[in-house]
Amino acid sequence: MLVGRLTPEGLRYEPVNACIRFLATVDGCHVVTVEHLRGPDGGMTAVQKAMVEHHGSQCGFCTPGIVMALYALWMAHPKPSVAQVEEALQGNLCRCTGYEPIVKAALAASAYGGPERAIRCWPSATR
Amino acid sequence: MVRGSSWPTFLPADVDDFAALYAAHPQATIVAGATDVGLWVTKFLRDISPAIFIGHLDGLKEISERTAPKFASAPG
Repeated sequence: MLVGRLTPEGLRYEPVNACIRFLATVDGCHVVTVEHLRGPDGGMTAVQKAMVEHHGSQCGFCTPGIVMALYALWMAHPKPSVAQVEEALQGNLCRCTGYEPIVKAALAASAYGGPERAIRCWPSATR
Repeated sequence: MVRGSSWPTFLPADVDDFAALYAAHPQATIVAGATDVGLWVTKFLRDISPAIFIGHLDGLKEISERTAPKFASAPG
């Protein structure tokens, strides 16, 4: 999931492992799970489209976490280097596809759209 | 204190609040980043309560280095 915190530089999001995250540590934060992601048209986000197109998901177990990690990367670095992609995926393990198609998806994500509307396309808490 | 939690859980407002809470609960688990503490709970089912969460405290995000004040040694 992504955790958004207010910083002096604005709202900053970071991917975290939800499975070991204590609720108290996200007090006052904007918590975004993979279920919240929507593209500007209500469909898939650029990252999700790239994952599909590049066959980045096989069994699917790791896919939500990888999508969130790559989404955070895409927000911060729409056109990342391979090193930045590898660093972004350091907390995610995939046992099926290997990382090559996932890295390709990360490198190609910006071709499916930029992050300009990333925040606005997240639904509000009332949804 | 976090209301509705089944375990005593504290989110101090600032460093002074943290000091007061820790004085009142010296056996508390102090949690900042929590990767390791999270695994204590999910893998070992360890009860970490009471827990004091300090990762949000701005007063603990910086370490500054200063020249130590000089003291005159006592005669003797």
